[in-house]
Amino acid sequence: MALNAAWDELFGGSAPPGPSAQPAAMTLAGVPAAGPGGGDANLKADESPWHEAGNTAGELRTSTTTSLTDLDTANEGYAAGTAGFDSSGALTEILGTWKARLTAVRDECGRLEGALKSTGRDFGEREDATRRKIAAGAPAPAQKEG
Amino acid sequence: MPTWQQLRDVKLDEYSDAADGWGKVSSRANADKDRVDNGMFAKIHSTQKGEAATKAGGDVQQLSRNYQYLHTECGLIRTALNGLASELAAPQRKLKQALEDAENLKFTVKTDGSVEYPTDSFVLAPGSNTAEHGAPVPLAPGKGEGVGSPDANKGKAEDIAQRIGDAVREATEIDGRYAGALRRLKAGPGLDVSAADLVDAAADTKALQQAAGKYADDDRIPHGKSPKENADWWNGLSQEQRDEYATLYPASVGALDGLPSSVRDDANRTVFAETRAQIQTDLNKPAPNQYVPNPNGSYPAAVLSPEYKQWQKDQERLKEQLAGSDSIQARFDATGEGGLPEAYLLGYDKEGIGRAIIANGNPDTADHTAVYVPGTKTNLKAFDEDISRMTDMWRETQALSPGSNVSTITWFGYEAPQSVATDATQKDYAYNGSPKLLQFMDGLETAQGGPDKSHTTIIGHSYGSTVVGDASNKGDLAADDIVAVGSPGMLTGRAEDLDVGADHVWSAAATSDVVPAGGKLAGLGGYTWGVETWNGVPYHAGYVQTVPSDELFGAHRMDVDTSGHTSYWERDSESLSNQAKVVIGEYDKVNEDD
Repeated sequence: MALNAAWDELFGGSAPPGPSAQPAAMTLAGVPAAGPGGGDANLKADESPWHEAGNTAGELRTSTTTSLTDLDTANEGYAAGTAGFDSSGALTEILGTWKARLTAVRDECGRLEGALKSTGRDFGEREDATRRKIAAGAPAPAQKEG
Repeated sequence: MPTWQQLRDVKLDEYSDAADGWGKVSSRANADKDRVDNGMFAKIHSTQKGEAATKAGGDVQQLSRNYQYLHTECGLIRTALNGLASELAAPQRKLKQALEDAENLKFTVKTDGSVEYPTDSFVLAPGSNTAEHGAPVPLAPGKGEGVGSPDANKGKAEDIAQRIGDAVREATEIDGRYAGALRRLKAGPGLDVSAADLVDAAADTKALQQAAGKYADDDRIPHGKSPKENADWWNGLSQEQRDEYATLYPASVGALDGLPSSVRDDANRTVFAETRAQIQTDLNKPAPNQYVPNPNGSYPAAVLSPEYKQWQKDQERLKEQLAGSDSIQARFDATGEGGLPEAYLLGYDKEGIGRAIIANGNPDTADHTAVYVPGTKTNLKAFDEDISRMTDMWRETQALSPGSNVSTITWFGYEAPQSVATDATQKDYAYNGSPKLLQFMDGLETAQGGPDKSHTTIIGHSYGSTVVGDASNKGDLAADDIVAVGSPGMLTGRAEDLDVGADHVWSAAATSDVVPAGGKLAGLGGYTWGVETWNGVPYHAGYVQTVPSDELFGAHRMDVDTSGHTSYWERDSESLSNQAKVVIGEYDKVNEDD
């Protein structure tokens, strides 16, 4: 699968479809574009930063789960203990919206954890493939300052 | 609306316990935002290029905005619940006292709050009566209408009924006020944190400031006090109180010199994000009708409407304000690039020519701190270069001394002159700016923990060096080294007059920079008795005006390999390198005139 398409899938495909998004073959200067081994010369992705970012996303998922629990625990029983107060009704109304937001954030962390780690792996494999291809006799790629 | 029984029974702990939970979520979100910015965004950003990183970056920034949003709004909910519990305690006490009084007198408080009492009279037949809340104006303060009645219990019962009714009314008012504020604090659906959400958050904050004004009052935050007093106030607060002030009054807390930079940064970023959203929202307002019929009825038939002219004017101003916020946002987004450390926003104001104070790296823990004071024409509408001069300075210090713990700060905290010919010849801008610089530098020193904690260099460019000179004249400038770059004069004649001592005063001036000479024409230099020399050759003596680049001034005259007035921070230049050597205290490596 072409890198852009893979990325679109991992990251929700929110990129506007346009002519520029179509040719997913990122030509590494000097290396034939055909095949899945293509990579942008400007693409310096290696596995570890992506993996670390993915790990952080995983930690944030845990942290946000704790927040959800905290909200549940802290808001337990207030309705019974504060009958007759309109503020309690207001709290009930907003509590649901924040639990929904925290749930969405938690799930997003989970999604990012997977997407970042898997992208890191892809990049690592691609770089290996590119190196092999270059070593196999393709002309050396032009170096570009990042 | 609560009944008196509900007010009696309400467990206010439920509200404060709930508040603790919301507070935890708010604080955790604040910490998590930093983890997103530094552990995710900067990581992807620092090492990756290409479309993948751009897209991932967008998703990660959205996550960061979510944590910021959670931090602000959940923090406000915490404060609302604490304020509610705290304010309700008073009417509840009042009610309980009234109920106790009733019990002691063997009166019965009925369901509707009226008070049944036995007749206590020599003349009236025994029996019982009922006193209502809202009896006619009492004859004596605190007494019911029964004063002077033949029934001794009547007044007592009416007083109790009155207090019960008052307590319930007060509680109802408090409950209604906080319920309204709480209902506003609702999360939008999904994951999006739109400009509209942030504008709402700002309005929610204002609404809660109104609602919770009795509980947490802006007046309790020090205003116009010394950094030491600010820090003492802050240190005397509990962590919860700090969190409450920072979320309810972010602008006030963010402006407090002497507070930890991380606290100010958090508060100012809230203000910044909300202000930026407001600017974007205002910019998107549709234009009003462009033409109206000519009120004079003559040619032309239609003229530009006054509303349209105003809209055009507003658009112009808003675009400038947006440009300023873009510059700052771009710096936030650059964290991680080439190892660039976190940014700390220590001040921000969009009004007028604007204000912004941005640190690269935490100054509170830095071994070396550089504070750059920009000069004439500094304006937030074109601020990129003022920021990049200090990011480049930071990078230069790392090239010279890899891994050294340096913070570089762009301090645009004063009303800079906006034109060379009319404004920059005035001393008033320096007179008005220098107290603010002194205060900021004191605050930095306070937050760092004392004068010996960080080696601090002030770099004044152009008119900025005039501000530095005036600050040194006026007060005790908390700095170890002063660098005057392209200086038109420092309002003092000799380097030795400056607070850091002559050996720690440095000058950089390109031969093609006309500002030092211009400064003398404007009289921004200082006067001293002495012999003027050029390359050591005397040519004039007497009571003469000097600027820092004059030999007679007595500063270290650093070598400059850039030309003109604005290129002193060019990458890979000796001009920049020499300044950076001063910043990291490697004085002997500075190339200068001997």
